[in-house]
Amino acid sequence: MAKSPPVRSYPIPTRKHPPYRPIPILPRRRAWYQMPDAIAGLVLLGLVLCLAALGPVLTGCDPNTIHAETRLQGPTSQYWLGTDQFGRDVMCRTFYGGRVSLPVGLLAVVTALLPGLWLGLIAGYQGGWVDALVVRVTDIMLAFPSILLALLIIAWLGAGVQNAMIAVGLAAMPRYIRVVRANTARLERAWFVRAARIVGCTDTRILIRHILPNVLPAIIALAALDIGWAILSGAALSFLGLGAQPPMAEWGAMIDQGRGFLRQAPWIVLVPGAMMTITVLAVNLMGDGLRDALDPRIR
Amino acid sequence: MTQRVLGTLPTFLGIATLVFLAVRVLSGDPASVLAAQAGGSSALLNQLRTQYGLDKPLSTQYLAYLSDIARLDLGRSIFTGQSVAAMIAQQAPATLALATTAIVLAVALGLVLGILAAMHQGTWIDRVCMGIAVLGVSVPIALSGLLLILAFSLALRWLPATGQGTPLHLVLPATAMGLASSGSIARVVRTQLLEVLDKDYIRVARAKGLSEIQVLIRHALRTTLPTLLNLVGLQFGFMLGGAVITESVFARQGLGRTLVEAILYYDYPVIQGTVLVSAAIYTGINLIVDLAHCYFDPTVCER
Repeated sequence: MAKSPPVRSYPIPTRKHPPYRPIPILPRRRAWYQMPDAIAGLVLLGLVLCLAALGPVLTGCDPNTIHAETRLQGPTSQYWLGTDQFGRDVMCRTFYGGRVSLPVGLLAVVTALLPGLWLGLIAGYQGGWVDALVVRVTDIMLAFPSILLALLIIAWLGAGVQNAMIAVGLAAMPRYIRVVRANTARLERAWFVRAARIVGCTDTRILIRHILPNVLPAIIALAALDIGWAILSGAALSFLGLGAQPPMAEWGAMIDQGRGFLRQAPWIVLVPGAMMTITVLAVNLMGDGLRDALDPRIR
Repeated sequence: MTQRVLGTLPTFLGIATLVFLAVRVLSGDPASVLAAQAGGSSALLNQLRTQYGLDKPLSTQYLAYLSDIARLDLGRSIFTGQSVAAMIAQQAPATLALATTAIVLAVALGLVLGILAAMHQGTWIDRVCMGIAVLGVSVPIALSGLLLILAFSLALRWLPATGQGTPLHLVLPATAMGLASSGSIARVVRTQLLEVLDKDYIRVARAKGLSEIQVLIRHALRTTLPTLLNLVGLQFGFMLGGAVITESVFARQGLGRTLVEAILYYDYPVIQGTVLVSAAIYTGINLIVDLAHCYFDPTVCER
């Protein structure tokens, strides 16, 4: 039997261990098909959009014709979801209401996003007194509850759908300025931005090509979550009589006009209310999914 | 701490300035609105301008406005002639009572939903609780308010739909607002709890034999307190805004209703006063929240 080779002892390496650095656990990004809630939201929103866009075309109905003989009727074969106090078709008005409320919500967010984005980028990148001024004004605007800010802006602009949209947008703007500015100020000190500056990029190029793409995901996630809020706020202003004015079919205004008939004809309130809830729910579900996909760090 | 308190003074000044700019400068001349309503002679217009000090330069007006605010003089309503400060003193308690009740309801409901969801993470209980939370955020306050009236007032006749006075009158409006805000509270509570529940000290607490409820109350929930407190401060602003709609739905007196009526009638002093006071209340609440935050978590304020 061969002798087993002698066991050689090796010296234990005495090098120092590298400093322990825990690897941060990042939330895993998920593909869209792994987010059933977001898909449900997308389908619901598609449905609502179809109803608002195609409903009036397919049924050929008229939201504003007054039929005195069919006031406050419950659901019938002619009016599937009943009529209001002027005999107008509630289903038809709800379709047309979507054509007002949906764009108002969307455009309000755009109104907030575009100036907010640029102000935030410039303030965060420039620093100095520009930054100080923007931050101070933003802080003051954030000291108002947002609906109150919207009401103050309405008091200045006057009532109306467009003004309600602008008011909701301006009221939301400080949130965007704050997020963009914080991100920009952080990125402005990043190595890749310094490198870009050394290579000779102009400030505009650095802002647009290097900083903007890194700020965008957070801001898109914020905007997606804000659309639902904007639809609710726009409708709330109309509900208070400060947005869409009476003959116009708009969800908030419909709820306002129908609430006097809650006992006899609850469908005047319930139909546009349910449609609005479904819309906002769909947008929120989608927004949650989009946030998880784009910017897992928020919340 | 004193620094934080003094730090709000510029914010108050900023709020006052922004309101001054929005109401006095941007919306033009209240006197011309008044004069137009009274028939519109230029003599009347000039007289009103002098009466309200609108013929003076803007800087003088601004200083006069600030000194008025410092003396808690918010002017008089253009229509009723009533002192705005007195109007607000009369209306504010109703709104504050409503907002406070709603916040209490929202926190209670949000905690229950959030805790249930976090304790049963990934099960149907979690999904149902979070579903309720998203739904709560998505329902317009006007609709939930009217649904509550329809169910509990018109159908069941348990609670009064409109008016105020008794605590019973508070139930429905506070529920409508609380539902809307409980959703965001539930989500935050759930996320915070999930972060904490697999920490070592929770495992120790379980290992030493505490029941799940004791673990939750003594150890896990404490860590959510600062975040919850901050959120309550933010939600209070949402309540002050939501009160505008809720007070209209339930025909209640309050700051929100006063403000909307003032906007509809272009009653500038009242708009100015109510917005100022609401923003000041909101800032004050958030100051209190920050100070409470310091108390619960002294590391925040050391620096």
